[in-house]
Amino acid sequence: MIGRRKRTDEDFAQEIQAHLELETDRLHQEGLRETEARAAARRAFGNVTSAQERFYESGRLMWLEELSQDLRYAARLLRKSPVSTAITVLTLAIGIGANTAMFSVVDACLLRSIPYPDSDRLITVWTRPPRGGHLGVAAGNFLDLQEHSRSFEHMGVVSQSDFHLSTSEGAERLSGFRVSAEFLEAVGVRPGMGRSFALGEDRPGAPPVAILSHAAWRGKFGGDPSILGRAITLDGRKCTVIGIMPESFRFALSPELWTQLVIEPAEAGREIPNLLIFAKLKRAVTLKQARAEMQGLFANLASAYPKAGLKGWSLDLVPWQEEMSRYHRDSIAALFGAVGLVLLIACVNVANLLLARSAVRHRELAVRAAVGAGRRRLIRQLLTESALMAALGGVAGILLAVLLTPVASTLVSESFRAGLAPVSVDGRVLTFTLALSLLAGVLFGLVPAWRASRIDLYHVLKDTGRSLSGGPGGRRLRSAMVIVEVALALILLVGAGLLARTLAAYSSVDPGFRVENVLTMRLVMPAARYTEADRARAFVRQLLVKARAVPGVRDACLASFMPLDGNALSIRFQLGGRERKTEPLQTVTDGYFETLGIRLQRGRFFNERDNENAPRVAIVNESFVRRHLAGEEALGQRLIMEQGRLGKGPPGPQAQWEIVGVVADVNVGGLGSTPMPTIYLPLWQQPRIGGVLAVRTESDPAAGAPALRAAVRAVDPDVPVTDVHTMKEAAAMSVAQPRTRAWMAGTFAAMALILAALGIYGVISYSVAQSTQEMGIRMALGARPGQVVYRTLRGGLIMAGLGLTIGIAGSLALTRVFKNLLYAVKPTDPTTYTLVSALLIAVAVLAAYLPARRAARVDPSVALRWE
Amino acid sequence: MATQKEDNDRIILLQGTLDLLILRTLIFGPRHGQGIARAIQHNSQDALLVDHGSLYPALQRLEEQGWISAEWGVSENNRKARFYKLTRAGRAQLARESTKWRRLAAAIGRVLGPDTAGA
Repeated sequence: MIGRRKRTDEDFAQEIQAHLELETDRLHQEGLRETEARAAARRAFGNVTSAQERFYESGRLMWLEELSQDLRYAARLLRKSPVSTAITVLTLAIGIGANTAMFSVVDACLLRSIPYPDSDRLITVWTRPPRGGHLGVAAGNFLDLQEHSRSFEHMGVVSQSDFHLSTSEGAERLSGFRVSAEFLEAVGVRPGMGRSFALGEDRPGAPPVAILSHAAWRGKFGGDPSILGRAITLDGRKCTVIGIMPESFRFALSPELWTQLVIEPAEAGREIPNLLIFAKLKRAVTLKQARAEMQGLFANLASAYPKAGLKGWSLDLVPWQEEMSRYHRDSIAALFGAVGLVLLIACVNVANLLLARSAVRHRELAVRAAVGAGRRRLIRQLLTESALMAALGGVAGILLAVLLTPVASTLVSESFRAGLAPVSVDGRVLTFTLALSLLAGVLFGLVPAWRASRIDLYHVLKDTGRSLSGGPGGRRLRSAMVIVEVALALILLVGAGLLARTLAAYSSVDPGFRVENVLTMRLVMPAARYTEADRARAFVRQLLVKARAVPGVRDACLASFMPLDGNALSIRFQLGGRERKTEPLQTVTDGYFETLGIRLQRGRFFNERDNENAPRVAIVNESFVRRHLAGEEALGQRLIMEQGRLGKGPPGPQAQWEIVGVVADVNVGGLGSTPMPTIYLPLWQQPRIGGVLAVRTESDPAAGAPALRAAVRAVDPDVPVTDVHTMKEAAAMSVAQPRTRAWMAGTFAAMALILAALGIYGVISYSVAQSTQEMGIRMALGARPGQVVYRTLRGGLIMAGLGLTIGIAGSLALTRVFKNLLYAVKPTDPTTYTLVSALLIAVAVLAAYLPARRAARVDPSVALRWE
Repeated sequence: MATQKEDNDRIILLQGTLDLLILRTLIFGPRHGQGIARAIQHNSQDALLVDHGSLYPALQRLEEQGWISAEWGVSENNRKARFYKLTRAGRAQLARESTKWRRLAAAIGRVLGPDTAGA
């Protein structure tokens, strides 16, 4: 075939010429005049040019011609029934659009590697305390690990930090990272301008330097390149700007500033695991080997330094890629599965629609088959039609996806999104959509096409008008598809129901403190200025006086952290003569418990007399009592802890605090989080710089913000105020992700429910239309409308019931997927299942009732004349 | 329904039929295009073919499929013409198609006959 010589156009033209001459000769012989014969021959031949064109196209472009014919034909068909086409395209657009939007999130978070070179070799090192959770590594341990490990090209540490930037216009707070010199090397990034940290620049005595993020350089320094080499004032110290990060560089938590983390080897502690190690694996070393090496080193450290309290701790290496996706993987995967189901339901619906339509088209198809269209050719024609519909659905779906993607991207919390590939509808996503649309087209087009191509010519053509899918086989097939739809819809409804109940559980949970009418703001006191406890105390005292004087403010306090912050500082202590594990410490001023409405269980709150000159007192929470003082009288017990220090002073001496009160537990980490055993100390007796100012107001708390900012400025203009928000906003933030999840799952489930209802409605309507004659005969013979309605409804209910059963079985099988996303709700929650089943049955009854009522209204005389 | 179809569709639909008619015409020996057109026209009472030109794409296709072969020759009245003849594969194809065709023709007869009569 391939080697055969293609005929030339000239050769073909000659043949046509020969044909015309032969025909002219022939006609001439038959008695026509020469000129007449010539004209007649041309007429009989038809369009010469078109024959030549067809010759030209034949073989090479035949398939293209057929395709364009099929497409034109399909387009004509779609135009002929605009309503059903619109419904189909819309159904597909919803399915494809939602899938595309979700895929853009999946792609950015789970599929695409984080945007650093060799990011698959970028490892983070975590320690796991015996109690659970995961923490970083203490500075001293890092130095040892760095020195002895052989598995890595580079190893650095990072610690998040806020910086106080003093400019001529006033104070500003920058959020950033302190990193050891090798950190950026390990991540694999270099500044776009200027230089990176040099080796040894993290040693004691090195001059302070800083690298700015591109955004901070633009925003705070006007994008002035001459900033390089100049000094800025950070935390009261002059600090030289040595580099500016590339604009494209993103990192989790969106740091604005990077400075060197100076670790004094002699002073590096082993107790506070506050540093996160980033390391780049050597090419020849596997993660497993590195993990084994590091675990061995860590075990050595634990036994070499018993005082570090690392007994029972373990160490783990987690690729940064995995770390970044870990928190969202479950919810993204579950929701991606959910939109997949929605698309599947959409496809089943469209397939059903096409089946119904092919019932009407059976004669056309049969005649086509009879006059020579092969089975393949018919299937191709029908698949072209479905592909065209899918393509239209795909285009509409992309438009929808562009709108949905920003919503879907909120599934990943903002601080994480900063470190991932951007979530957007790009070429990869569009490729996915294209593939998805084609797949959908084949999926919903194949069954109708396959059935249509199996036309039994004898029967279809003999029987003047019965339908292709009206026969028992076709009806069974369509019913089966509806059952599948109902089952899929139920699975989605169960998922959405469980997530909605989770959200409700979060919202109704008693956080243990007042959420209404509380405003909080973080104050960053410059460490360089507040080096003495007295000075810090004076600032706080003056501030509280001013804050309490603001109109509408009932109560004010300052604390190291606020509930829902997710922050906590831990402290080691002795109790009952025994050294205990560290527990979270909160330093608070008097008025803290009153402002936040935290309930007192025993003893008393702090008051203004619990100052630096008074006997030291402490308050603990219920969890603390349960863990450390079970069965004992908590009041009067003494806690022995180190006294706090400010700045770089030596650690304070040990001191005793007497427990004077027990308060209720508070969800510190977010609504629904597990309360932690907590120690509260008066700020006056355990000084700390900075903290969160909280006020309780009479009405709208947000209205007090300007006056409070002014109060802070009045006391010290060099103290920046950040993170101003009401407690209600913080509470809403802490359930933002469960809320997004519940809303998205709910939306998908609603789509599924509507589609399934349409499916039931379609099948029942169709069977009613098919059996109009039968209904008429029944009614003519005396059947009451109620009986006709019942007979029709029964069909719908049987389908719904079967779908329901399969769906429940499916949901129970999928509980594993849901489990991690739920709070205070079991994945097998009977209430959810019952409510969801009831809803689905109700919708099914409604969808079946409408056509049933129509059936009952049939006029027997009309019905009998049908067809 | 079939009568409402546009020309384009008809050509495609008739393709199977036309192929078969060409093959059948060639049983009796090689013929040039005009001869084939005449023979088909004669055999089907001038009904099936709209114009002679539509024959050539079919000839081209059959030739490419290897069912017929062609070479230039001279006609009975001394004109240069391209002669087509049935190949071995073409004969086998004709045998296959004929049985199928008879079945289909019977079916068409059954549909179109009573249906048009009844309407």
